[in-house]
Amino acid sequence: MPDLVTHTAAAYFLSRHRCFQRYRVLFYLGTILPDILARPIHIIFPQLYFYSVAIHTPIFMAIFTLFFSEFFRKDRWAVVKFLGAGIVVHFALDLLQKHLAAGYYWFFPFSWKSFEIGLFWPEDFVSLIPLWCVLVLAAEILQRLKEHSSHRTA
Amino acid sequence: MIWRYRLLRVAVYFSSLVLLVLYGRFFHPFVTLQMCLADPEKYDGVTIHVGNEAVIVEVLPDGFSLEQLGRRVRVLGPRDVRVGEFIILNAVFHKEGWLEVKRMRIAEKRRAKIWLSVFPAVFICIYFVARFRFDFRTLYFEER
Repeated sequence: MPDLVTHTAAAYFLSRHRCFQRYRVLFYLGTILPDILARPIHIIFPQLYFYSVAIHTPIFMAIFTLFFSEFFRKDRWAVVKFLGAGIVVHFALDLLQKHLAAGYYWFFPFSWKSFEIGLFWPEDFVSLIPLWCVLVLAAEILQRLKEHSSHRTA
Repeated sequence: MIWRYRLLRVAVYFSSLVLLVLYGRFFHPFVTLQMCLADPEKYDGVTIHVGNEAVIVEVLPDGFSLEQLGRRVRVLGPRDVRVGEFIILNAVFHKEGWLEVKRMRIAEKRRAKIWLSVFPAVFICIYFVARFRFDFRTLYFEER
C-alpha cells in the first residue's frame, strides 16, 4: 500500500467537484478503508496475518460496503456509491506498486494469482508526502481566495 | 417487518465477511517461515517469501539474522544491512534452520509510512464523526 497520506491526497484532488459535497467524507473513508481494516491486524498482531489476507480484496470490500450501508437509513445507494468509489481509487493506487512476492489478490477467493503494474515500491511514496501536503494546502488556499473574491463581487 | 429484512441482510453480509476471512486463513497456498521451522525436513530446499514484519536483529560474517514472530533465523546473504531494518526477502529454506537469499529488499521507510498513516486515519475518523452520529436505539448513522 502507499501510505495513507498519499491515498488521502488523491481523494482530496478527486473529490473537488460539487457533487461530492454531501458525502465527501464517505469517499475519503473509502480511500483508506482497505488499509485501516487490514493493516492494523498484521502490524500489531503479525501472527494473525493470514486472517487479514481476505480483507484487502475487492470482494471483501464490496460486501463490506453493502454491510456498512445498512447502517444508514437514508441514501443507502449514495453511501454504496461514494464509499465504493473511494475503495476503487484505493485499489487503483495499490495496483501501481510492485512487491517481491504476490501483491494483492484481486480475484480472491477464486484465484490466488496476483497482478500489479509495478511502478513503485510501497515505501516510495513516503518521500513525496511533503509535496502532497504543499499541493493540498495550495489548492485549499486558492479555493478560499476564489470563494472570498466571489463573495465580495456578489 | 422492514427491520427483519434489514437484520437478515446484515446477517448475510456479516457471515459472508467472516467466511472470506476464514477461507483466507485456512486455504491460502503459501509456505511460511513458521511452517518451515515447525517441520524443517518437509520444507528443505523450498523457496519461501518472508515479509510479515521481519526485522534484522544481527549482522553476521556471512549474512545476518532476522526475527519474525519471535523466531530468530540465520540468513546467508549480503552484509550491507543495518540492525532494526524491516526486510522482505525470497529465500531458500534449509532443514538446519537457515535461509539462503534469492532476492531481498530493505523496506527503509516502512516505520515512517506506518506512523505517518496514522494522521489521515485519525483525521478522517474525526471528519466522519463530525458529519454523522450513531443512534444506538435504531442502529443507524444520522447526519448531524
